[in-house]
Amino acid sequence: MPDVWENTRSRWESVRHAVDGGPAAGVVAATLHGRPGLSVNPIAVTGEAGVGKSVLYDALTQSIRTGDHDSSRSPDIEKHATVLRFGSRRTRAAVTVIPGQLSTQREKALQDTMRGDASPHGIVHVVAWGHNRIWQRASQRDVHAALAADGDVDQEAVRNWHRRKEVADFRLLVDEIIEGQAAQRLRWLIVAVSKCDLYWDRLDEARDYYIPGQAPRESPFALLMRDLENETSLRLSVLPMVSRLMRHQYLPGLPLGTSQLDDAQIGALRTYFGQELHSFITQRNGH
Amino acid sequence: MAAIEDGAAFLRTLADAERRLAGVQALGARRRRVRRPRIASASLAALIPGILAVAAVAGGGPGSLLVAVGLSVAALSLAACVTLLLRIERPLKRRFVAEEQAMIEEVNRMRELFTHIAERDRWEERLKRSVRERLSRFPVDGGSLR
Repeated sequence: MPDVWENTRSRWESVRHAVDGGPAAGVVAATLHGRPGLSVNPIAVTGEAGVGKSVLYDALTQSIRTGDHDSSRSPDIEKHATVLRFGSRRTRAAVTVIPGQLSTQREKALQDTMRGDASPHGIVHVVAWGHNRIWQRASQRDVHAALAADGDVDQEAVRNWHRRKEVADFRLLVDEIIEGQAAQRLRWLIVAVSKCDLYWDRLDEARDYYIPGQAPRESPFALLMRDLENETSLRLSVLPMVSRLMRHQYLPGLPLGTSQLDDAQIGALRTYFGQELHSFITQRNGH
Repeated sequence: MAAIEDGAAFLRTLADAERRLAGVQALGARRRRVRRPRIASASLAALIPGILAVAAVAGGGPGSLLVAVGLSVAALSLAACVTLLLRIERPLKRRFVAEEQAMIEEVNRMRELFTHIAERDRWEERLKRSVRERLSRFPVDGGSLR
């Protein structure tokens, strides 16, 4: 039986080939017609600040198009009872976007949705391979100063900065799930590797960073994914995703990152991600 | 704005921010306390002339002494309302907003630097957990403490 990570890689690659114009192996076309089911599927969207959680939600509900204007920082918990549309398929979901910043709002959101008796059935954990946005000038200056103290301040250094934070954040989530303190009725977890249009030319590196099993030395993130596989019965997936076209400012003074994909390719990524999400939401059993 | 270069500076800044949070919460409570008499005096200033007018229209009307007393009370209430608003509530609000903004800016800096400093200074898990809990007591943005 193929290993779960081989399947995950194969799914990742089929999406990549489809976006690059090749055949979409293993991708099921959205041919089912139907009404949304009666059950409401609780889903939590988690991830670091500035990673694009709210924009991902907007993309999934098709309330933004790929070329829409810039977003703003979400100040509070976002709760939505919504019907997610995946092609002709529709699914009811109660989606809570959990703030990424350590804050009273994040604590409340975690308490309401993940702790005690509350639990989502699924988590979409958003990461961006180090392409998080830093909203405040003062924080940008601090990051610049901290990086300068350790060496060169370039795009790679900024990416590493965010990836370390991303791992620390994911470790908290994984620990809480494994130790049974959070999300006790959780059935699945999808890692959305977002903003991948900014690093499409390095997608293999991102894949090997997030999916265990290929790199000679697994990344700290991949090790946490392995922990989830070994310690829980969750259905897991890792997929590339882009919510909308955008330029990325690593830090003031550094060159901007620009999208390497066009509208149609981003549309394809959104479709594939939506299909995966739909299949996870509607699953009734484990693997 | 002081640099947060190491763990000691981080913990000092966090302690300062906690003091600021307590101050902001106290200012918020004071604003709410001032708002109540201001709203009461504004209501009185609007209600008394209204009642006098209704009584005059309904017939007979109140005596001229009662009208004079009523209008005087209304005028005093209006003066109290304006004084409370301009002399106390607005300056309090300005101070509150400035303090809250400064506090959130400091906390956002710490949120960004926390992982870096905790790793570089090799903080123990217990210290990391305690700092996470302390940072979690601050709001994301202004407005939630008002």
